[in-house]
Amino acid sequence: MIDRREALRRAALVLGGALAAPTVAGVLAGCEARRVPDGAWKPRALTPDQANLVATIADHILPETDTPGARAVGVHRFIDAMLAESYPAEDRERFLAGLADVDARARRTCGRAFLQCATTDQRALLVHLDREAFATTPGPGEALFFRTMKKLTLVGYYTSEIGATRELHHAPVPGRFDGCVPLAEIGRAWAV
Amino acid sequence: MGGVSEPYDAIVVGSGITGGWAAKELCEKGLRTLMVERGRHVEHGKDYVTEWWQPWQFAHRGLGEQQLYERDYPIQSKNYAFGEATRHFFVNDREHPYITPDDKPFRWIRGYQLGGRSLIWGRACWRWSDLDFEANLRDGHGVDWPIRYRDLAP
Repeated sequence: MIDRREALRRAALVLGGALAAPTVAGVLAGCEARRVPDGAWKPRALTPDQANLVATIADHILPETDTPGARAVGVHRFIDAMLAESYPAEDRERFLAGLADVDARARRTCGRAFLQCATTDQRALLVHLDREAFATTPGPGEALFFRTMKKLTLVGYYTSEIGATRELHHAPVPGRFDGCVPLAEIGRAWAV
Repeated sequence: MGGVSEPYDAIVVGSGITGGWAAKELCEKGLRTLMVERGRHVEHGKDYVTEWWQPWQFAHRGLGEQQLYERDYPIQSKNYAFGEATRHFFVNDREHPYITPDDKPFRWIRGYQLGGRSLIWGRACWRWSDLDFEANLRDGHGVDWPIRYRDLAP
């Protein structure tokens, strides 16, 4: 759907410029992807099917490259925790309605629920949703499903251990501040 | 109630930055000083329970529990320092409400522990300009500073 560089560029817009695009990929490509086992986990706000739908959409937004993708780092678990523990009921219901709308659109465009659609059809539908969601600026109190979905995916990914330490550089105690450094010397953006 | 009556030269209410320094100065001048505080006892180091936590160790990755914030921390959560790592050092607005005149709202950020807000500041002190010393007077808020930049100028 979008490559990771583009995802980061957009994340920087969403998060107010806190992130920057990495230029050197593959620094840690030799590391084996450490997958988070899904076996024991049970969603609380989502049904297992909805959790799978969220994981699938998140994985389209941040797919596996030289580093693990959104599903592998458990972004859907974070989103489920936000829905179950953090969001007011109204926001939770709006998010669930957004998921239902993804399926309804999938049925209209490819005749099946989203998860049963071909990967390319899934991607086309999400590209459409993405364009729609970012074509306009939402008014105060207005939340567009795909914007929320994308924001939670990016936050969940880049604050995960894999996202922060492998996709980004992680320096919990930077020690010094260099105001101007060629990006090539760093390779990847810093986790904050 | 029996109660013990002890004489003090000075009573300091609050153990935050201001109270803490005031009590220190008073004690060093030899005054018998009582400090009053409420909330939990915080032991330096041991009770900084989220120190060194990484983003992925927080259940909500820094986004926090929005429903809880709206209910119990509608004022505190507006402060830059409030968040998943620091919530336990802020007062619960629902349990400790206050009122202000309608035309003079005030966002009262409060700690609730030994050390007060000295535990929840940003660890950065900017050098003030004369504009800062005169801001209260110019805007008509609070109390005018009794000194100006030139009184402290190096």
